[in-house]
Amino acid sequence: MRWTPDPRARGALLAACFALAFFGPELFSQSTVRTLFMTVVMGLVALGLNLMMGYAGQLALGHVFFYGAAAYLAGILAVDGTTNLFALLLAGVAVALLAALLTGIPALRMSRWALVITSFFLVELMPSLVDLWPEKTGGLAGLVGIPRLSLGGALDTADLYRVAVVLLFLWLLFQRALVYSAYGRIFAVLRQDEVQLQSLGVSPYRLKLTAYLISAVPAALAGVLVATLDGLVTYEAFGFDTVILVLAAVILGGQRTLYGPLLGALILVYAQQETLSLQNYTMLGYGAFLVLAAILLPRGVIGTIAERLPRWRTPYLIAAARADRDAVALGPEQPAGLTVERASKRFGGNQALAEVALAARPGEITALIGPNGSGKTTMLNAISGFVRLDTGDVRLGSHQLAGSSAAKVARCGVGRTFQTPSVPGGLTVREAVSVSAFADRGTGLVSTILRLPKWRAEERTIAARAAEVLDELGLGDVAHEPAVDLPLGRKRLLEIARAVLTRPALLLLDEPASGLSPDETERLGLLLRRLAAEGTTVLLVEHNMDLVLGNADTVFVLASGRMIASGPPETVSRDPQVLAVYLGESVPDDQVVA
Amino acid sequence: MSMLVTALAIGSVYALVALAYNVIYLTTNMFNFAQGGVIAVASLIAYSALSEWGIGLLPTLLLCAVAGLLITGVQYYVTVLPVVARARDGEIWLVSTVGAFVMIEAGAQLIWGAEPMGAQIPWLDDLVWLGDGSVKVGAFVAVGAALAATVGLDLWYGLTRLGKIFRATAADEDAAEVRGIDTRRVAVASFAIAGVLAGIAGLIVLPLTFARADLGSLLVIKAFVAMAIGGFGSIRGALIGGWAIGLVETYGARWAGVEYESILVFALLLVVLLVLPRGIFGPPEGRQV
Repeated sequence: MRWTPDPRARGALLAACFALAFFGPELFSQSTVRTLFMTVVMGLVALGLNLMMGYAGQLALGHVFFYGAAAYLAGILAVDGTTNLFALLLAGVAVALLAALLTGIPALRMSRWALVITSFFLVELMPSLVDLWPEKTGGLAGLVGIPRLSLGGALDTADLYRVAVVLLFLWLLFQRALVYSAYGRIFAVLRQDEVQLQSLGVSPYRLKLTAYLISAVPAALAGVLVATLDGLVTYEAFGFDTVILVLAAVILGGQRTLYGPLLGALILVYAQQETLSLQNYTMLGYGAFLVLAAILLPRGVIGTIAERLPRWRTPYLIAAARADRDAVALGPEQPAGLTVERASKRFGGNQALAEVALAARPGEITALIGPNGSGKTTMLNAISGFVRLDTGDVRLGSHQLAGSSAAKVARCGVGRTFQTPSVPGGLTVREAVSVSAFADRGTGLVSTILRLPKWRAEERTIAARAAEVLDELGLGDVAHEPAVDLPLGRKRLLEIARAVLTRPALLLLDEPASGLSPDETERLGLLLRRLAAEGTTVLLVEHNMDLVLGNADTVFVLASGRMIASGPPETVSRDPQVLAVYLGESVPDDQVVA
Repeated sequence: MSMLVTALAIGSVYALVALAYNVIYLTTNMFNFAQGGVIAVASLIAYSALSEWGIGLLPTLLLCAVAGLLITGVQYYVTVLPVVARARDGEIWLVSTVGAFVMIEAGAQLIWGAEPMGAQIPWLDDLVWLGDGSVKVGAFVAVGAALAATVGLDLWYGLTRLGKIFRATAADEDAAEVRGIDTRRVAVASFAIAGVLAGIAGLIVLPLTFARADLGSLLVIKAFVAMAIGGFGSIRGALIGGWAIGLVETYGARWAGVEYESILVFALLLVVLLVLPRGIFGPPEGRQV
């Protein structure tokens, strides 16, 4: 029998852990409290790394540098006479944010491994940077004589420890609120597919930078705390070994789990302190421990437990109240037509598009057909900003789209799907559909973190809309299943649902029916008609002629980058040129594409 | 002239380490962190063989190559294969190979101690007068070895059937598997080649630095930077990247001061990656949509 504990038990367990930690000085020996203090410090750094590496999926390892930079700044300021805790925390966070901004701006544009290496090198630079201002930093010998911090009065070690526990608690609240919101959902897309992210109107680079800046904050808090523990700061505390410890803490505890990095930090800090007397064997055992942990617990301790306790899963999107479900509209608030004029694009020697013109009106389904390689997908990519036209004009209502980035085009009201559906891991179908609401969400970071009524109202609207769209596409029964477990055809429907959710003025669909059952194709046709009826401009690239001929109001036919025919489906399907392209040269007059 | 040779020799050491990493990265998309530890152990073995046992240069070379092969082989089967077999995603191998690195380094420290040791090396320690200063024969050997390894590997990957199989595995492991390529054997062979390279690099490093247990930690970051500059997975890129670092370090330390050495290398890395995000010889940007 499977043990299914009450979700409230988790809250009680966490409360007990915090009470135990908070009253540590009364309950435990001095050395245990020290271990706990270092756990909090390393845990904060690991929480930052987990936000970047686990949730945002970016292997940036600069957090130990931010930790060190904040520690040095706090130490220097304290030696100069500023010992107020709040002032030092603010200064530490400020310097960490500055460092994250300066190093993140170039590095986050780079490829995955280049990011790893530049951020890793940052840590290697610490001794060189410290040595540049030896009179302030104490140079390679270390900064000594840092006075105790004050908050009203001077803080003793037990006070400092309590401050650390409270800061950790606050940061966990912050991170929890951040992760289980639109941010956590969009992070799932960022880790999975940056192209998809852009089609949802989000710049991957800006999202990464945001995540990097936020993730620098706990590292900075940790730095300020550690600077005053022994009144001593040395560069060796912020080196390769610490990077390994923090990285291992995240993976051992569980990437993408809220408390995993903290548990990992506790285990590793404890293991290090306990085996300190064994000298060389310490490192040998530590290495063996890392190897074993990676082999036996690839998902980490908390990750492995969470897998077995699905009832303890925290949803990334709140439940929609039934009553909310009536007023959901799928069509755009402001319908707009698409006009493409004289669009040309050349890839090397291949003229993918030559002087192509196309128009799609609101309230109609427009189909774009043509043989493979005729330029249909290039056309969609040009409209949605993934391909820059050599010449030509693309307009949606009053918006000029040509020349804009894919994310900007999406924010102008263009939704699209891709030939190969990609579905973010870790989310349910309902949550995966709701990711597209990120770009035009009306609530900022503050309302999200503080869970203001405004945030709650918006999340409920999103949840209601997601439920409506899912029902409309026949996915309502799997709304709470993991999205990655869907079969291909239903993943495609999920992508369509995701695009529709934001009520785009223009919906671009790239072969939506391939992989769909006849039943699902029929449902898709109904949905497209409903969208058109509500004012959406639908542009459909499709090989399934039943879907095209049965639903399209206008059909455009591309062949070798040229538009060879356009008009109502019954006219186009009898056009001799179209028949020649589809069926070969000699076509009897009565042959109809079907 | 002597300074240039020294700079290129140091750069060649980085290049050799980067090559060892690249050979594995090319077919498995992994960085086998432990490779740095293997080089350190090989250099310590070379030190013992030359200074304590006195077995001569060629037997030492052979010994180092075999040691590199064996350690890397064991490390692959114990710390990489079980992890990759269970979870390919999530970069869990990062932790297990770092763990292996820590273990190898700690083991080396238990056997040889933590102090850097200078070896007496026949022939490689001989000095050559270049007009403005003298340079060890070992410096020329380092440059020659890096060049030979680069040209050899580049030709092998480019021209031989087996080399093409390796590259096919690198491009798309699943597709290669479907085509009947045993990708696990390719991975094993890549670790073996990298192990031999790391073993040889251990000896070649010796005249230019000290034998020390933590040599790997010192080399690994420079090797990664060399890879990033040259382009990950590019054989000739590793050489160019290594040399670029050697030149910037040596001349930069002379002109700006030795405390700016690392900062200048970092600046070099940033400049190259901002201009060429995929490194000098990196693969071109693929089709996105």
